[in-house]
Amino acid sequence: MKDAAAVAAVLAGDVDAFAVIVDRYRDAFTRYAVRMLGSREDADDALQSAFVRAFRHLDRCRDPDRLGAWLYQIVINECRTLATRRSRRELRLVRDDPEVDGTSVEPDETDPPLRSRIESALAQIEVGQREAFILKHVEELSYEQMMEITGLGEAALKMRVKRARDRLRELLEGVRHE
Amino acid sequence: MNDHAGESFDEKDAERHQPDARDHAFAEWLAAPLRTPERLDMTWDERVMSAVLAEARAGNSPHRSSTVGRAGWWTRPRTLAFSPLGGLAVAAVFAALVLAGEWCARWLTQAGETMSSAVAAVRPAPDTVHMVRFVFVDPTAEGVYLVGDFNGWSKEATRLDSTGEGGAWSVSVALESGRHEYAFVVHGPSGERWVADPYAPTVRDEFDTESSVVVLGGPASARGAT
Repeated sequence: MKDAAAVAAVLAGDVDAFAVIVDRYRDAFTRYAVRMLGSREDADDALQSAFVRAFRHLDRCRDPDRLGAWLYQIVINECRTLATRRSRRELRLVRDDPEVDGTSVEPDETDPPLRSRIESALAQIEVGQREAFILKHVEELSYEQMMEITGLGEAALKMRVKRARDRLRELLEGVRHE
Repeated sequence: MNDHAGESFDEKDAERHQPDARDHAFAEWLAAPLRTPERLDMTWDERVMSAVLAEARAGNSPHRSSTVGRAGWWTRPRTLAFSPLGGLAVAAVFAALVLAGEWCARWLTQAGETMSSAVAAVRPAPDTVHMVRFVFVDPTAEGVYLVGDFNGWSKEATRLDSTGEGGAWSVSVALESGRHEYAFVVHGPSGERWVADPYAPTVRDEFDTESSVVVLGGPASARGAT
C-alpha cells in the first residue's frame, strides 16, 4: 500500500491502515529522536506523541505522496519541544539544587567510549544547533530537505550547523588531535 | 539580516563560513559513530496503535473533521437562483424563522432560569456543560484515576474504566465551560504515580507538580483531553 492509499484509507475511517504508516516510518525517525534527546526512553515518548498527533491531524497532510516529509516535521517539532522543556528543567535543577553544583562529582576512573563522549557533548549544545547538526551530518540530509522539514532558511541552517561544529570542537578539545 | 531565536545571521555570514576540508573531517569524525541504527522496544508499535485506537474511540479520528462526505453538503458554498416573486417569499419565510427562533430562545432562557436558579445563584458564569472524554493509555497500569479542579483533586472520586484493549483507560466527565486543570493518578506495579496528560498543554504549581489544562467553550477553546 502506497503512502497516499494508506492516508486515504485512514481518512475513510480505516484506523488499522495507520499501522502501515507507523511500520513504514518508525525506524527512519528513531535514530534522529534518540540522538536529539539522548535517551531511548525520551525518544520512545516523543515518537509515540508524534505519531498520535499525526493521526489526529492526518487530514491536514496536503500532499499524501510526501507523507514522510510531513511526518518528519511533526517528529522534529515534538523532539524540539521535549528537548527544550528538558534542558530548562535540567538548568533549573543545576541552579536550585546545592548538591548538583558539579564540584563534588568524583572523576570517572574509566575513560568513557568515544561515542558516549560525543553524545554527552551533543547534549550540551543549544537545541536548534543540535537539531541542525544531526539532520546535516548524522541523517545526511541536504539543505534543501532540511529547509522543507524545519521551515528555516538555508543561511540560518548553515549558521546553526557551523555554530554546532564550533561548540562541539570546544567541548571535545583534547579528545581528538586534529 | 534574519533573526531566529536570538541568533543573527545573513547570507554573507553563511558564505563567509563555508566549511573547509578540516571542518568536514571533524564533522565526519563526530557523526560516524552516531549513525548506528537505533530501535525502539518490541511493544512500541502496539502502544502507539493502542493510543491511536483510543483517539479514534474518543472521536478524534481525522476523517470526522473532514468536510468531504457527510457534512460537506451544508458547509460547501452554493449559489441559488430566485425570481423576484420567489425572492420575496423566501425573505418572508426567513423573517418568520428568525422571529420564531427569538421567541423560542426567550422561552428557553426563562425556563432555564427557573429550573437551574440554585446553581446559577452560586455560579453565574456557566452556560454550557461539555461531556469530555479522558483517555489514558498504559498497559502496565492496574488502575487509573482522574484528578482535577472539578473533583477537588480527589484521588478516589473519578476512576477510569479499562476499555479492555491495549491498556487504554477512559472516563467521560461533564465539565462546565472554562479552564480546567487535571492529571491522572496511575496505580501500577511500582506504586502510585501522578502523570500529566502527554497530549495537552501543561502547567506547574508552586510545588513544581505538572498538571494538564483543558479549556472548554469560547473562541480560546483548546482541546486538552485525549
